[in-house]
This record gives sequence, structure tokens and C-alpha cells, in this order.
Amino acid sequence: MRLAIALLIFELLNGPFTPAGQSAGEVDSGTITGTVVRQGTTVPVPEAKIEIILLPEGGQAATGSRPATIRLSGVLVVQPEGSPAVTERTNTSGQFRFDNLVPGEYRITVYADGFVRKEYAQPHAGAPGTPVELVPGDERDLVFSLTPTATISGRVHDAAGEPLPAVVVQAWRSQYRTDGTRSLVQVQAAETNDLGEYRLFWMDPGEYLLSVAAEPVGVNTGTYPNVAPVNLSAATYYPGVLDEGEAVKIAVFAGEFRGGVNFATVPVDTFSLRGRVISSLPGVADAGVGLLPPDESGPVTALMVRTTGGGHFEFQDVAPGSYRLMGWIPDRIQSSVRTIPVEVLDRDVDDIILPIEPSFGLTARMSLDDNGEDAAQDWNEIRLRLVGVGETISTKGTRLEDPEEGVWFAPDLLGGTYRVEVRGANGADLNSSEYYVKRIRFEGEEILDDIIDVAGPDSVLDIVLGRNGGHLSGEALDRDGNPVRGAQLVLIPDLGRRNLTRLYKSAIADDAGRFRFEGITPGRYRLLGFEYLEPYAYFDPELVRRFEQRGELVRIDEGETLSANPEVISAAEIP
Amino acid sequence: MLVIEFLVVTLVAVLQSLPAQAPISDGSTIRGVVVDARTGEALPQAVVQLADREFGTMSRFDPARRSVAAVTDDGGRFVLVDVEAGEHHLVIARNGYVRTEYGSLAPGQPGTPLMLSPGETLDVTFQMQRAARIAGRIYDEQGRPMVGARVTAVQVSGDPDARSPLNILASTKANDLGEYRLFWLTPGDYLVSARRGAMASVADDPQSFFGPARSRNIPPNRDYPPLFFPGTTDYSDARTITLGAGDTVTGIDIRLSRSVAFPEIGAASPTANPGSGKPAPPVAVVAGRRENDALYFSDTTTRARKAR
Repeated sequence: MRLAIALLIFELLNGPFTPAGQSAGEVDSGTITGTVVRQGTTVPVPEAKIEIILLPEGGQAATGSRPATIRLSGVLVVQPEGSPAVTERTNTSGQFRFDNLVPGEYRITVYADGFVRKEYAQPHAGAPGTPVELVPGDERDLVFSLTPTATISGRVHDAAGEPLPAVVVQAWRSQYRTDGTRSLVQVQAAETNDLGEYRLFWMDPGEYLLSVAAEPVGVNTGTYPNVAPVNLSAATYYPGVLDEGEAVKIAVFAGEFRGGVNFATVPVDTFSLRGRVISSLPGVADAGVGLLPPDESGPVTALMVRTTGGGHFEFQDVAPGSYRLMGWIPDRIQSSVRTIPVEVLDRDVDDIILPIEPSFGLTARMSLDDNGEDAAQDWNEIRLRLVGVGETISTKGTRLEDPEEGVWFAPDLLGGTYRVEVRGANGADLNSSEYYVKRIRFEGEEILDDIIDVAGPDSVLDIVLGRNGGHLSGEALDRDGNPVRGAQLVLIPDLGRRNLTRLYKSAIADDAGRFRFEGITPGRYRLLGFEYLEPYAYFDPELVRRFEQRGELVRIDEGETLSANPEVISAAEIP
Repeated sequence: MLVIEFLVVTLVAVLQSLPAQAPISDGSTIRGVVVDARTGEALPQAVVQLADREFGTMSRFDPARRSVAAVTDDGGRFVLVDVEAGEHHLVIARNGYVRTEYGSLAPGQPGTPLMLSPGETLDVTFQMQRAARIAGRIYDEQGRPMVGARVTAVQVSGDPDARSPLNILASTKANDLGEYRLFWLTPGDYLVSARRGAMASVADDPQSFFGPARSRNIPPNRDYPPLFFPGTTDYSDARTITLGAGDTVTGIDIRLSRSVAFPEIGAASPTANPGSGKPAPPVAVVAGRRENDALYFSDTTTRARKAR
């Protein structure tokens, strides 16, 4: 539902406007006041934006499912879908005030220029904060201490020492992907000026890789007349290397200005790639072919050409490295994008065959095995995706064809290898729902690793869900037995099932250190607690190997409820 | 995966606008020298390219395609070999100079095509004029930098039939100090205009800085109209900045102000409460607008609450 509110009425004093069925009395409302200061000082931060979000009962912020309502200043404010936020700014003394708040749990976030975004009671930068609980008549006074951001600046020049103007310097941070492998994620980008100077600002303190590229995809840059074309066929990393592995990280601390981070681009020998698009579809003579980096990590520059008669294509000026070649037939983008890997070493690559086949549909059936009870099921609560793995890069969503029978259909699928991924309502991780995947069958065969090879149409995918998983709750404790607020708890499946990411469960401890896992797939697990862990780091096998002996071994049967109070591993121990 | 799908669409969009590939080879040669128009000094590192047609569009430079592109050496010399006989445009670009074309009568003006017979060797000399720069600072009413402000150099179009009276010649963004540099402008008369960028402030617009945020209902508390230097909304009142070859004009600072009102779609002042006989509480009706399914409210909300 989309709410179309054109006008919003604000009462400034105790006015006559009261939402139907609700009393706007002062008695049951609460107040949140606070001060925002620069970290380690009492210096106020004026003009900071305070955003408060009333969490629906149950703790999770509404993420698009239903409109939230917040009463502010005695007025019912109906927020559009997915944006249940109210904001205020600090005054010159760094103070803010929210009056007449409905009692409940609020997530509070502070934004200010030149400071790292901060949530209330955030144990570490990047870690989730803790909601503020407001009981009727409460007046909470909070202090937010903001960490100043850092700046990195320098000059970029070419191998001949000439400043390079209008090229883009990107700052990258290494992060875990949802599967536990690491990838480079761009956090900032800045264009060089006529002197080759760049300035990356408002950076969180931390470690960064810098790279320079001519035309990175997706970076909004300026336009300058009279700029000479630049020969940058490969991204150069600071301090002047082509290999990401040899790049030197720049570590900046809070409030640091790091100047003089200068580097020169590296000239590379380049080669040509030649090949042919083949297809049973019409249009190979006018197909599109793109040359892309091997994955979505790191700098993305893309080249593209169009095939000539016979489907021939050629890329010139290609730097050595790994790439993906992507082919498509322009009028049939949805149905004919095909990708193959290509390696460029020290010579031209010829005779590449890029097949583009027509796509097809796949039907999936889902059922619920609820301990023999054939309960009615609202399949709208479930989502199904097919995630390309390995050389299959496309991910396909499916649509629920028959909500009664649980029949899904994936249109426009290409032959390839996919991971079957069942998600909860609104595409949320099944992690936080009561369901778990019990069995997957494809072409009549039991699939143990969730991976299916789809070769053509008329294949049938059968998925059985369970709703009678195990429960595990407890309290995260430190060495002295005190609860650890905001600790990261993880259930790691036993060795034989560790490649199944859907079995992993993660939870964050609340204010009192309490946590709870629902819908645990029956089996053996290690329960590990960390004071703080980067998102998805628990999928990293190396990290798990290092700490698993510190975790408690738990065996959870169907429908069983267990409790455990793990001792958390301190943040200082984590690399 | 969204990224990939976006890429495909982008690639396709770009592809459809790609010109046909330049013809390759049959033995003619173009060679020449590139010099500074004022000093006569040889210019190394100038990029010389055969263009298909349009003036000013240069493709990615590819040193391997020797028939299509070359870079001048330390003596300002270049050679294009194996050029196909026929009609060509020849474009020269060098950082710090005005891009020029074979046969152009004035810097920045279109040139004429060059005719090449089979086996011919053509000698040419290019004189390049130094480009100019404008630099300054964009700040708000309180003197704070307008981070990410979009700054453009525009020229008034002489063409009465043009869709817009102004042509944008260059654009850039202010940094966290509010500083900008518009560089390598072709000498001539310019107006400079600035407007608030998406990234004016983390506090104003966290999602544009941090990517998609949980909440999209962040009111743009500062709505600044675009201004022309030195501070006017009307370009005919703007000050003309005349740039000579090699000039750097600094101090072109613009103070953006939100005193020019947010375009309100509705407003009301306090009125008596009908029938009650009592004076009405102050009530403000605040303008809002819809954008991408989110609602934005004018700054009045904040001011109204603060006025309490």
C-alpha cells in the first residue's frame, strides 16, 4: 500500500486534534533528550541530525512491510512505508529534545558532517546499536560521543610524471561477503583536479586500499572540456602496483588528515581478445559483448563492443588479468545474457566462442513437513531464489504461481549451476524466521549441498520446509560472568555441513546480554560468542577453525529447546 | 547481482550510441608536430586521434591502434601510419590546452576534414592554445562549506532558437572544504553557477553519502536555489568572467542561501477555531512533496517546532 499524504498537520500547543481511538495525554508519553559531543571532549556538535525510529514490537525495525506510526508533539504522524523515522537537529550547545513520544523501543542514530554515523550504545563502529526503551512517563537523557572522520589526499600522475586530471581515485575496504569470502567494497571516490590532486573525505577511521581508474562504472564525476584521453587500461593501486595483493593499505585514525598520498599509474602491455558469438537465436550479427572484471570486488571498468557479421567481436587494449565476457542479444536482454570467464596472460586471445542460448523456465514445489501435521501454509511468507555459483553469474528470483499449493516459477533461466536459496518474508534471511529447509530434491535426486545443475526446461525442484526447528537461548557473558551487551552469537554447523550457509545462525545479544535462536535445523553445532565480529565473518572457515574449540558443542533435535551461556571471545583476540 | 543487471543495461545503452569502428589501414601516413601557440614550444604527451566525424569526441586512447591514435614525443612529434586513404577528421588534445582539430580557424571551433590519397604522407603542424581555469569556494549562510555542491561554467547561447539560453561547458563538485576547480576551459566569457549537491551534508542526506539507508524520509532541511556568481538567481544579472589563454581566475566564491523559499504547495496561517470562541492554537500546515514514494517536508516543520 502506498500512502499518499499531501499535507501534514502540526499542532504546536495542546490542540484539539486527537487521532481516533487514541488519547494524546501527557501522562503516558515519554521524552528523549540528549547532547552530542566530539569524542573524548565536551565540545558540542551543533547541527547534528538525530533520527529516531520506533521499533515495532518484537524488536526489528519495519523494513517496508507496513507503515509505522509515531506520535510526535501530540500528533499522529503516519510515515510512508519503510520510513518510520522522525528527526531533530542539535542546537548550538549540541543538545536535542523529542517530546511526547509513544512508549516503546527506539533506535537512535546521529549523523553529523565530519563525524562517523553513530547509533545509540554501539559497542564498536559498524556494530549494531541497542534500542532505547522508553516506558510511560520516562525522560531519558543521552550522550552521544561522535568519532571524527579522516581525510586522505594526494596527487596522481602518470609514468612520465605529468599530473593526471579527471581520473577517479577510489578508496576500498575489505569486507566479508555473505558467503564469508572477502571482497573489496568501494567506500569513497574522488576525482582529481587539473593538478592531479584528490581529496577523499568523511572517511571512517580504518584501513583502505586506494586505486585509480579512468572511467569507473557508477561513479558520478564532473565534466571537463579539453581533457586528453588517458591510457589507463588497468586500475593502479597505491603505491603504484597493478596487483591488489601488492597494494599498500593506508590506515587512518579518527580525525586524521593524511596528505601526500601520491602515486603514479603503471603502464601495461595490452592485448586483444577476439571471438565469436554463436546462438540459435536470431541477432548474433548485432549482439552486444561486454568485458567485465571477474567478480564484483574491486575496481570495475567495463569495455563493450558490438558483433559484426557472423557474430565476430574484438576487444583491443585489454590489460592482462581475469575477466568475464558477457554476451547478449540486445532485443532480448532478459532472456539471453550469457557470461564466460576469460584469462588474458601475455598475448592476444583468439577464437573465443561465446554461446548465447535461449532461456527457459523452471518450476519449484514447496511443501511443509510439520511433524506429520499438514498445516495450512501461507506461502506468501516465503521467497525462493536461484543464486548463480561459479561461472553462472546470474541470480534469478521466482514468482509464487500458486499460493495454495506452494508452486513457484522461475522465468528466464539459463543453463548453469545455481544454489537454491529459501528466504523469509520480504526477502529476509531465513535465519530470523521459524522455518528451516529440511530437504531439497531436484530431478528426483536428493540434493545435499543446495546446488543444482540446470540444463534445460521441464526440470522440477522439490523443497520441503520444516517449522519445528530447535530453539536455543541464553546469556552472553564475559570472563567475569557479566552479561555482554551487543555480543555476536553464532551457531556454526558441524564439519560435514559447514558448506551449507543456511545452517548458520547469528544473533546479537540485547541490553542484558540475552540472545535467542529460533528455527534451528536439527543437528550438531558449535555455539560461539564474540564481543564483536564483522558482518558475515563467521562464514570464514579460517576464523571458525581458530576459535571453534572455544565454543560449546550443542546437539539440537527437532522441536527441542536448549539453553547455554557462552563466554564471549573478546574483540582484542580477533584479527 | 543487481550491479550486473545494471551493468548490462548500461552497456547496452552505451553500445547503442557507439559509433562504427574507425577504418583500418592502407598505407597513408600523417605526421606532424604539436606546439604551444604562444611560445612555439614543442608539446609532448599530446594525443592525436583520427575521429570519424564529430568534433571533440575522442575515444579511449589506444596506443596499439597506430593508424588511429598517437602520442607526441618529447619533441612534440607524432606519426600515424597505415592510415586509410580518404576523408578524416584529426583531433588533438593535451591536458592544459584547448582541444583542437585539423583545419580549425579558432580554438574550440570545428575544423575541416582532411583528404588523404593512397600512399600519401601528410605533414601538419598544430598550434595549441593554453586553456583557463576558474576556482573558488561554495558556502552557506553561515560560511560553512557546501560539500558536494555542483558548480558549472556556462556560456550564454547566441542562438535565439536554442532550447536553453545557457550552455553548460564544464561541471564539477565542491569538496569538503567547499572548494572547486573548473579546469581547462576554452578562453572566452563564462558565468559560474552553483547548486546544492546530493552530498551537501551527511546530516542532511545520509543515504546519498552512505548508500541506501534504512530510512528514506529524510527531509531536505536546506533547500537552496541555484545561484549565479556573485549571487543571483537570474543569469542576466550574473557577472561575466572573461578568461584569456592560460588564465587562472580564483576567488569565484558563491554563498548559497535558502532565504529564497522552498516551493510550497500549500500554506496556511493560524485562524480562529470556529465555534469555540477561544483563540485558536497556532497551527501550521506544512508543504510536502512526493518523490519516489517518499514524502519530503519543507524546513518549516523544524522551524515551527523550534518556535515553540
